[in-house]
Amino acid sequence: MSNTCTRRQWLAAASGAALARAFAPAASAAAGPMPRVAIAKCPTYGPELLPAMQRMFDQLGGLERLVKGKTVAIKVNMTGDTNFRLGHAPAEDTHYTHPRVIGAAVHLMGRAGARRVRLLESCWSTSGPLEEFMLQANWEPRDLAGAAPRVEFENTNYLGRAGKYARLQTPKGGHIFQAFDLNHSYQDCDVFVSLAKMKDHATAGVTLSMKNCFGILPVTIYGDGAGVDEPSVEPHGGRGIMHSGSRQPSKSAPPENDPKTPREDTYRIPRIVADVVAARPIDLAIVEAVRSMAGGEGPWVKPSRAVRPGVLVAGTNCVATDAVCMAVMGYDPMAVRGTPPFEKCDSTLQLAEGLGVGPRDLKRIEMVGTPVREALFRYRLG
Amino acid sequence: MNCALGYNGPVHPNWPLRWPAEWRDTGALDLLKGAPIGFLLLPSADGYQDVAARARQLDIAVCEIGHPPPGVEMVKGEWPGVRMAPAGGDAASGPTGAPWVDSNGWLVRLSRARKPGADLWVTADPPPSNEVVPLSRHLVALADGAACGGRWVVTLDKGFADGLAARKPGSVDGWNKLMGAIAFFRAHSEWSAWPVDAVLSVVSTFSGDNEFFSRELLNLMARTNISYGILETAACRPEALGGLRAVVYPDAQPPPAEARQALVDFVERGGLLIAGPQWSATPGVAPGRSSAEEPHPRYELRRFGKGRIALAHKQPDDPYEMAQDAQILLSHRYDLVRFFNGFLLGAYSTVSPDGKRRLAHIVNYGGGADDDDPATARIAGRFRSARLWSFESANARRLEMVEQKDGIEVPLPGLTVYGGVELEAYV
Repeated sequence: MSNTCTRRQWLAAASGAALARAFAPAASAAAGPMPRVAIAKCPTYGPELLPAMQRMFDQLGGLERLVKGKTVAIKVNMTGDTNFRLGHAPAEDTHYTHPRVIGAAVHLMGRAGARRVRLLESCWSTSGPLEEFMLQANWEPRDLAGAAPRVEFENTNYLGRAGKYARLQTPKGGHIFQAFDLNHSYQDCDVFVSLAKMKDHATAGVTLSMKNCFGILPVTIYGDGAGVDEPSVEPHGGRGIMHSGSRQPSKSAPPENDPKTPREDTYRIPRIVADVVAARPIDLAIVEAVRSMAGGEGPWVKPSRAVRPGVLVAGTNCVATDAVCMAVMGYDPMAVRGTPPFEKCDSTLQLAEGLGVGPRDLKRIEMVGTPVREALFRYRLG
Repeated sequence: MNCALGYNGPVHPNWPLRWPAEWRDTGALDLLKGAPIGFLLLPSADGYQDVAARARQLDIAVCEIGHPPPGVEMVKGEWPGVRMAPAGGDAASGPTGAPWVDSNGWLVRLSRARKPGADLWVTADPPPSNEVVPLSRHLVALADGAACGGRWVVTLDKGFADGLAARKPGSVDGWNKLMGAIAFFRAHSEWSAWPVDAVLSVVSTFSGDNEFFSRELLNLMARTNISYGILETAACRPEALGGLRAVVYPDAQPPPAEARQALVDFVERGGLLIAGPQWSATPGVAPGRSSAEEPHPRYELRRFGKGRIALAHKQPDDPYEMAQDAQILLSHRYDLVRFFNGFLLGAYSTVSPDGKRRLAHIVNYGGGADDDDPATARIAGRFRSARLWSFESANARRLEMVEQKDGIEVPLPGLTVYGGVELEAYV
């Protein structure tokens, strides 16, 4: 993070029109059958960011309604090791959720009365604190800690601070897993927020608010270095076994429903992600693409390129939010396997919809803010 | 000196070459005309008398391998670079899953710390006769030792030696590049006197029961790019701990009283001591209140004076784990050099004796630039200018700096083997 920002500065930045506006009462449509998704243009991570996010939250019915007096857990996206870059560009300009977006979200949560905001990410191959992981990415965690009265950090790639893992059940039994054992932070919260980056994905077609939550699976149970019987103590490596299905998670956790299902990542990953977001419902999905990358989820996917869509999307239903994101990216949210961007994989949106998580048909989604046609940024060239 | 060939003069300031066993013809010495090779290490006394005699005529010192001249400390190391898997092809993995990198830098530094003033030569066995060593690996071996103030004993693989003997253009070109790299470090010989810019020191006897663990700790700490110093327990006095933020004491047994007191004072003044469980019984370090910091799975954190003591729950037995723990206990906030991309880069940070310049020696252990994923270095501090020294140019190239909070970023495109990033500090 090249610029630092104190809580006072966050407050100062927020003191414009957005602050003058009281939190809007819950819109009736937000509680109705049509989930609402807000879109905002935001060309930079500068002063316009906070008002843009405030405006989106207001359009969704106001943050206060959602977070006041609550413990809010925010899963950010810091995929892979911190030393990957696309060219010389900082990770937050391509494949990580930008820390200024995180800071703005934390600040607005605090201002809306959140009792506690807990930032979560499963840090690559380490049990070290999330703050240390952020420092390795050249971020300043103190800026985030100062953005609201009570901000905590937790690395969720292992047991963490709790004495045991939390078991979350997948409604309807799930496509692959009927339940997951997760770091306690995903249970010990009143409101769960997925704060994601808008990107293509080599295996899942796109990675948005739902795919971001694949990273809540601790590799001590679901990773290549997971213990066979019990979770490993230290997290090592990635979640290759979730991709390949080459082995089951640690026996202490629920196994796959049917180990005879295809062992192909393009079949498995969309289903596992759909199961995860069914087991751990997302209360607020925020997807940022002020700057991002196209062609893949990280610099290790080639070819890929840095892009500047200048857009933010947020909603209280993750499937609907991701559907709108796909439209903004120039894709058809109703796309199925064999059509872009799901040429080789199944649609996570379709699978999550099948679990009753939410709709992907834009006709069943109320879109507010900037129209899709004005926010459109085609991730595929040509 | 136990040298049948007889040592014929003072240590030549130039570089040592392990004379290839198959070179019996004195004609090969023609290669050394104008080259910065000043010392030949011959395979044996027998069979090389003609070579030795001719070398002396050319003012090149000679000695048997294994019998270095006075004033030279010769240490046995490894061939630096990325270790390949036995089946060939892919690189072998280290403790992190990242490619395993061999380096002699830590060994050179340890040897220099234990024998100050000695000329440090580092050698490794010649590769098997059927193994072709790429030129880049010869250059990496040279840069790896030289960056830390040592001299890699140039050791040719059989193919390279045969090619040179036959004056094959490719071999001669490679030889010239190797000699150019030596000339580069000769031209910057003052760098070897620049002390390490350390934020942390490892204090150990580095011998006896402590030898294996403490040395592996140094080796693997270098892979984490912690900028560390090396201090023998016997030399652990308050003045040796000045300017440090942390000390790692990996030995199982408590240090002698003087060193212990120095470390306790260091903590009282605000330093961090990372040590094994025996410190809990150390007089003067009464258990303090638990800190408010996040509990650590392997260490108990105690406040003492203005500083902290991190006591391992049990005696550490995994040097890589201890290296990583040390970096996090101290905090990445104090990383001096951090790389993005450049997964095979290693850094050794030094500071000029007058404190006005800093120099980060950067070695690319992969031996080749990655144009698809160009490296960036983040260097802590604020600087007036940055420039890059490399083998490819006699002059340093100015580097564009991206200013950051408490640091700068500089791009490192095309860094194939070695780059010296020289930084001019604001004074």
